[in-house]
Amino acid sequence: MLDLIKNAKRPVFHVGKGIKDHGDQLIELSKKLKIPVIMTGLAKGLIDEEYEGHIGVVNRAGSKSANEMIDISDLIIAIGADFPFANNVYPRHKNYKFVQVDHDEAEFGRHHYLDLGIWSDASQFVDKMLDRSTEVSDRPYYNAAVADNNNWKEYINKTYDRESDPLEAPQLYRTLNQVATPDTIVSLDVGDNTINTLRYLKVGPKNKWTVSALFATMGSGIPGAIAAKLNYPDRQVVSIQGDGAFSMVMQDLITEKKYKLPILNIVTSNCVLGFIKGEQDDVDMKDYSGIDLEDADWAKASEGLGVEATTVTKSSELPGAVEKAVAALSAGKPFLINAKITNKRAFPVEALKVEVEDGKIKESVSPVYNVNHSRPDIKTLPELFAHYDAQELKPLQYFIDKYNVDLN
Amino acid sequence: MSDKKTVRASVAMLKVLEAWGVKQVYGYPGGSFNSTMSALEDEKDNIKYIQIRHEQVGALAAAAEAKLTGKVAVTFGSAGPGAVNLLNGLYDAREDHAPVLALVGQVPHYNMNYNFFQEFDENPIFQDVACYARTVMTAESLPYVVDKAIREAYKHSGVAVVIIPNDFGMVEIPEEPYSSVSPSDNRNQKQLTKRSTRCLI
Ligand SMILES: Cc1ncc(C[n+]2csc(CCOP(=O)(O)OP(=O)(O)O)c2C)c(N)n1
Ligand SMILES: [Mg+2]
Repeated sequence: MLDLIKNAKRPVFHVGKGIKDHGDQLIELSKKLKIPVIMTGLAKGLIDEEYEGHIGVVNRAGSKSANEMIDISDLIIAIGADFPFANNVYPRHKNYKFVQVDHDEAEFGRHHYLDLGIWSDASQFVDKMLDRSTEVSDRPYYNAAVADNNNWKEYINKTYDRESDPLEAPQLYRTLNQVATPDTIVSLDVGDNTINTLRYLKVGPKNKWTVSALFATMGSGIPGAIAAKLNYPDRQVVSIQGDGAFSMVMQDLITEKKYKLPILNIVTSNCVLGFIKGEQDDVDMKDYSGIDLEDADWAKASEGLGVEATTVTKSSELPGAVEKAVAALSAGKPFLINAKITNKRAFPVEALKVEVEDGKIKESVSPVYNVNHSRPDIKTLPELFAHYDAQELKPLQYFIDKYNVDLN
Repeated sequence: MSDKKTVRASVAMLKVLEAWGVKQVYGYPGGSFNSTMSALEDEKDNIKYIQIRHEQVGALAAAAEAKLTGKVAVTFGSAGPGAVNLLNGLYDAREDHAPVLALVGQVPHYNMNYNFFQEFDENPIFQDVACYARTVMTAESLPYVVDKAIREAYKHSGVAVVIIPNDFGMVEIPEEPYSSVSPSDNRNQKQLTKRSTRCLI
């Protein structure tokens, strides 16, 4: 293992839930060896997200930086990671070594063929590595990863901090982060909120969040919140779901009322199956098909079911809505915020195609991006960045040049 | 022997759940589940019935409870449609390795296999999703089968299903300590809980 690391120029950790309470030790190891850390989505919150070497999550819901950096790595060390999108991500590039650290030998090779399998608990592995490895003083790949990720964060923060009319999802998450307490439990439903939660929700060491992860069924938000509030009555509980998911189980607002469960329910109402719309963009089909949702007044529906509610359409209305919500929750009653948000597609990191040719990065807009031509035709990275209002984003080559990363 | 105390099988079953630390069960009634409903009323000071409005919500709530707490969570549905409505949440539990017990209604045992109203063999429905799926065969074994099902759910971090012919629940059976909970389980459970506070969620 140590030899593999010694011989690697561009090693990256891919860490899953198996890391458990060893997030701080992992950070220590990452600092010591100058190896950037990518997390699986479900491991969100297990390592401090402010740590500079934590460059996010790969695949669609993740960051530009994590997706780019994994695609040019020469060693992937997967630690305690049950990564359901392995077949999407790992085969995107070749010529790298793959190490899997897993407490279950039966899982070896499930994500990628192995150069080395290490049968170990993730935390023990990290402790042993800390013990036996020697410090690396500098690594251009690590520096580039940090800078690339800071650039991504700059973009994320811009979308988070601005005001919007009509309302956009990031400001809703900003508001959620503001009302949340250190031990808030979030029950996340499936859809665009999956992407937005991974990108915008702040999860601290005492927070919990739950989601229908592998099965990913719509309609799990409200049930999860009911369970959370019953089991942790003293903690703040929030459910967040799209209009499609909400309308699959909305009748159970009655249950929140019946058992006096003060839950804050947020419906992100965009009148579309947003997550599927993003997918249909990239399918060779004539036009979007079957994804528009008839609008409904979810606040009124909620009130009809006995749960007080309010509707917001622009970010300036959020503080007022929160005030009403907090008043209801303090009085021991559930509340619903019907957030009418735009149906903008979140920045499509999946549209970036990274290849290495003659020691140089070739980064382009993936040919499947927007093959249904529902959006303006986009050929270049600057056009892509501009279309998603992300002019500050820089192509990967910029960071490679700046930090002299050797791609051979 | 004749002066030995008895208890309704359905009550004995709930006492097993209580011994395992189950605080609430999520479900929806039906005629085929009335023996357990009756016991839930008797035991309401010790275990809470949460009436959701769709069995899918109950199963998903149980799955989320198990993911959040690391402990076994319980949901139920009545024979036929109630049973089928549970499936979505049970698959969620299976896929995310959450220990969940589903109690499923069945018509009285003497009506089974006659194509009685809402009656058919329910085991095949759960064969794929469950790591353990059994139909109770005698009133006396009801609490045991439920206890065993919880052990299987923990062992496999998955879904255990117990199908209960309704009449068995009403039968008086000897009052015994049916739960197998032992101090060594508590140790495991604590470990599991500690681990899962951050990892199962
Ligand atoms: C029960 C179920 N049916 C279908 C899907 C496929 N699916 C995944 S996300 C999604 C769209 C969700 O729409 P909505 O709840 O409105 O959220 P949005 O993406 O618009 O934010 C669909 C249909 C699913 N995951 N679960
Ligand atoms: Mg929607």
